[in-house]
Amino acid sequence: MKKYLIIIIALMAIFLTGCWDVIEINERIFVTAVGIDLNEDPNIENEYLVTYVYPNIASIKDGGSQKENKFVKSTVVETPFEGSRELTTRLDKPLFFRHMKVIVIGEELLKKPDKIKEFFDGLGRDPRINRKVQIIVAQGKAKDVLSTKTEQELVVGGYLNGMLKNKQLAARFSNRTFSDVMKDLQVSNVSMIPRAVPKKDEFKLSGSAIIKDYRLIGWLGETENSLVALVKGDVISEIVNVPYKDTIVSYIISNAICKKDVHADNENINVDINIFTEGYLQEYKYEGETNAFDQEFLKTVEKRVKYKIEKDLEKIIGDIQNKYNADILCIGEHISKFEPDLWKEIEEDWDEIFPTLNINVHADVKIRRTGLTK
Amino acid sequence: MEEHKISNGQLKALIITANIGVGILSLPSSIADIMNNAGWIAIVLGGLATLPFVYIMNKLAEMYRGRIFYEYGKEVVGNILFKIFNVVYLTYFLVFLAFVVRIFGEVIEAYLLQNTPIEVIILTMLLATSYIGRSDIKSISRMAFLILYIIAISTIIFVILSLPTLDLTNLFPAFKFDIKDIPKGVSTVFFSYVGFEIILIALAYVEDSKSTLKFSFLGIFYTILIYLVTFFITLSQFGIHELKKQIWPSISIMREIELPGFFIENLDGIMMASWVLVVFATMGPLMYASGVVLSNLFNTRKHNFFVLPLVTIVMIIALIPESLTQVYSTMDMIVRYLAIFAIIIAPTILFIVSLLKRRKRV
Amino acid sequence: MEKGDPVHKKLDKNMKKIKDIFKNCDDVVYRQFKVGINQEFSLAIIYVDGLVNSDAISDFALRPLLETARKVEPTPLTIRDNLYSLITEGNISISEVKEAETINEVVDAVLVGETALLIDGYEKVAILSTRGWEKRGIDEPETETVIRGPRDGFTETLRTNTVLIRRRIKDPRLKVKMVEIGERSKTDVAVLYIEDIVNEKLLSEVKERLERIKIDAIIESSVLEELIEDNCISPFPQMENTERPDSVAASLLEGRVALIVDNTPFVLVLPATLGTFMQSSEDYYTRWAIASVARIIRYIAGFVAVLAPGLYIATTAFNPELLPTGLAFYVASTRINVPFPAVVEAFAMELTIEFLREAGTRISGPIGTTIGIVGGLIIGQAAVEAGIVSPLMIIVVALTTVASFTLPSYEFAAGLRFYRFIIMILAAILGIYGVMLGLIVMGTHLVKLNSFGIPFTSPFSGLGFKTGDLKDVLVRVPVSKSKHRPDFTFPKDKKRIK
Repeated sequence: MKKYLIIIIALMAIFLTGCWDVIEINERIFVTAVGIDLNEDPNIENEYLVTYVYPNIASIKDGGSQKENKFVKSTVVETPFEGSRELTTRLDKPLFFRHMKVIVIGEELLKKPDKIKEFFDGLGRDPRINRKVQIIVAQGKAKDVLSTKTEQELVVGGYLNGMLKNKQLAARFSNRTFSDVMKDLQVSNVSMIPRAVPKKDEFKLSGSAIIKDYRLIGWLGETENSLVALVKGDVISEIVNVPYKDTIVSYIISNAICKKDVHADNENINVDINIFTEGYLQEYKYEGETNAFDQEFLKTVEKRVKYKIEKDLEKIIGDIQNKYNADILCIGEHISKFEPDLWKEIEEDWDEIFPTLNINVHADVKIRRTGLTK
Repeated sequence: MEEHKISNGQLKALIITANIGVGILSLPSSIADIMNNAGWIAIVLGGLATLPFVYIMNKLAEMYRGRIFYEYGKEVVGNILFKIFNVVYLTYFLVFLAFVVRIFGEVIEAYLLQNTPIEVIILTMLLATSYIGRSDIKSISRMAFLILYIIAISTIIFVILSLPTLDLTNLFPAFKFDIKDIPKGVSTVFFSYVGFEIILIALAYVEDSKSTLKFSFLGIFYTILIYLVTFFITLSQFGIHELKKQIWPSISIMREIELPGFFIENLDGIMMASWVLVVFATMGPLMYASGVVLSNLFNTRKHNFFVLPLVTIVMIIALIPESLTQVYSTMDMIVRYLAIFAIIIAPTILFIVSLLKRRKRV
Repeated sequence: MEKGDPVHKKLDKNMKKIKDIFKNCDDVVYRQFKVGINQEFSLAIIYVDGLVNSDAISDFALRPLLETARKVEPTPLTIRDNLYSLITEGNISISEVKEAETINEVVDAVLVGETALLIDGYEKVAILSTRGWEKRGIDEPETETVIRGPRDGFTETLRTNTVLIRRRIKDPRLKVKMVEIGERSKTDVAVLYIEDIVNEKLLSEVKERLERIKIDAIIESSVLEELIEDNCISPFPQMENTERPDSVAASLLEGRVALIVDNTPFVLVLPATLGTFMQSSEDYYTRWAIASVARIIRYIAGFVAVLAPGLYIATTAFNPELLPTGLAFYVASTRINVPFPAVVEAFAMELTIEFLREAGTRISGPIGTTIGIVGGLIIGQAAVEAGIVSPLMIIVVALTTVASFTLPSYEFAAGLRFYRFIIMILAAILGIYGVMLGLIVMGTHLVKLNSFGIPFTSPFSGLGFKTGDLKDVLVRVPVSKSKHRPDFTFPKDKKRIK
């Protein structure tokens, strides 16, 4: 009996002094988005400007009667992860990162590869940060992007997060999570990160930033992005406009598959990119004699679309091979997986070899439907 | 009704759940480090490499039917030598326990309870496990059976849930490997298959002793299968480079699963919860086994009262390494060598000696 | 003079002895009378008022003796030697007549409700079976109702109860073995089993445990349960108890043993496993698909009943990352102005529910329903509106309580309740890890539990798993598919349908 008593008292002593990890749920600040910039204020010494966005929990309950739906706080710090500590001087609750959805990186910061490498390393190491956070690049300052007030503000997840997932209709940007970015950078040193452009009352997610060796080297426009997305198999739906006689015909892609094929002969390495798209006709011109239901017509349009896709893509490829020398089409990755022997040979000289690759694009376009009318 | 008898299905469950312990967390990453995408080959080979020893253990149990290893060992190699064996086994069990519980504590600390002192986590786990360590092999095998099916169902659910986000192309190149790397790979993996030595005790209690070999082998096969699935899923999810960098890829992967349409997010909590069960299933038999070894050393009938004092010893050992890196390097090595003795050397010696004795008698 | 003494020849001496033993028992009735043409033979009857069927005595014992005996003219010789057998075998119209040779037996018999007939000059006493007392009519059991199914339930009289079983199994292999337990209460306990199905070892184990009992009284079957079960410390019951005869009959057919205890309508059925505690007779009277779904829901409810409050504490106070983001924000918003931490809230609400539960059991009828309304509506609603408790907590607590009532066995749910508190405490200290620890401890406990040697967690933990016991535990397969009796009772005859 005495033995039990001693054990119970010992256990109680341990446990009642405990509850070390108790933090009430309403005593936490759920950070939904973080922005990180290069500090440009010459008065303050530190490097980074970190911005935290967190929702106003009370507004969920009261259903919008609160003035603000989210709060934004910025602070200047030496290392990005110090931000949460610095803010303890200004906030009444600890910051909680487990529900963070988006990280916005300022343009200027991306021009400093060392800083980026430090930051990414920290992100990967931290057990509290989900690897599925979306990363976007701000053209300008991240703080501006995060501070813009949008009219309809969702507290949960934030507007930004919602936008990033909105790729049902178009592929003008390809959202990348942190793990995707890391993966790309590991394999071929190159990654694409969506670009956010802040404007007065809203911001746009248009196109991507091209990152090579952890440094920003260029931008891809919206349409260019959608074509690259086509190659990477990221497209759910997109639109391609081609001229026909005196009008413009619109073709909507509803399904796109892309296969890459690499073979090396003595001199060159040939890469065949085969794109296969299915879709339907969206818009022609309404006239008496027009008949979109005609096989010939459809074939012509298909050919024109195919031509356009191939040409546009080849132009982009030319740019990325020569101007940027960045393998954003993940050709290197493909080779490393499916032609490992070849990859072993060329891996180290990939930078030199990439521009010399002979990349051919073949598109196979099919128009399956023409909508409701002929 | 059945006095001290366990069924073959329970034996199989014991093997599987005792094997899958902390190894499953770091296995994909450590093998990817050595053999890249072809790591699965090492996983399969490692599993197959344990089969001869499982066979030996089964044969020994057949020769000395109804008696546990720690009992008949005395007859085979002599009292004094066997006592030394026992001490080595005891050390092995205790250090292994300390290793497992330390890693367990570190993982829980990192993911769930950042501010709780690790001593508390370790102590509570040890105490909870000692409850079942003090019971008999019947209860332990029943528990193993239960936990096995819970693990099986969660694995299937987790595989299904991760299917949308899988990128199977990450598995390639799957066949490219260097023959030289294989021994190193297998030795890394082999350690994850350790845990089944509990059958040295359990085999004596099995009801239908004719099919034990089949079920033991089945147990190892299922373990191989589970490890393979884990490897493939983590590899597809992360890609080879990221996989190599993660310490505990099997847990990080639960974070990757996100189906917001179905309200499923942040599943790592649930993964952690079921992993606690897995570790418990590894530690329970170990505690029981150490109690049994001690009870044989001191010739007592029951092993209960040895377990609680052992808890304190294990706790002290678990807290010796100062950091996780030390755990994975020094302690890992010590456990490895002890395991080689416990699984390979001792049973084989006993087996050979027993065979010779039989021959001499005939 | 001792009780165990033999019956004396002289009526007066016997009467004096008996009256002495029954001193101050004013409910014992003595009636002395004389029979014979010349009223030369003294007889006496002794019985306890209220325990006997008075009509039986007056019509079937007294009248024949007083009336008919007068009419017949026996010869003096036969009378002298054989009056006793003449009376007992010839005159008494009562169906069951026994003999007693010691005062002890007479006393015991009278106390059971039988009438003692003493004849002057003879050393034997006739014991007439005249039992009859006030008893409750057969009624639907209140604690276990079904929508479709028989509505008769056991009563407090043992004989009525055995009859209810006999009517369902008209097989001579259904054995009813009577045992008397309790020094003072001398409670009759009937052991029922079907001879060619039940396992011999189980039966002998039951008999042995019954014989080992040393106690002064068995008031209710739960006392008996505690005395013969494997582990009386565990919060979980290891035998089922039921008021429904159909349930008992079905259990007997599975190879189990039933113990009917006099003076209580609750019959014990053993052995019991986790699987059997989750079965309800209603499952067999509804269609199999619905019944299977209902069973699975019961298991889910079991988990909810144990884990829900613990999980609430763990996720709100420790690890909100376990919740999906939307839910986490919502929970945070509901808790903004609540003054108590989640832990205190949870314990306070659980305590309140326990108060309500206790109050509800004390009082039944209209006041009981009022308590329910007062508790639920007023306390719960008002607390939420006052902002002391978050509405989510109320939902969690209410769900838990309802979930625990879906389980067919009240005692089993009570065991779960015990562990619910432990898990809550552990959750309050260590979050979700604490919940898991609690589950581990509970799991270990369940796994170690045996019910008369049968593992309690069968068929989930090995016994019967492969041979298909789950068919009747996790779901309910149609009758045509359940051709074999379940494994856990180790029945001798496994086939139900030949």
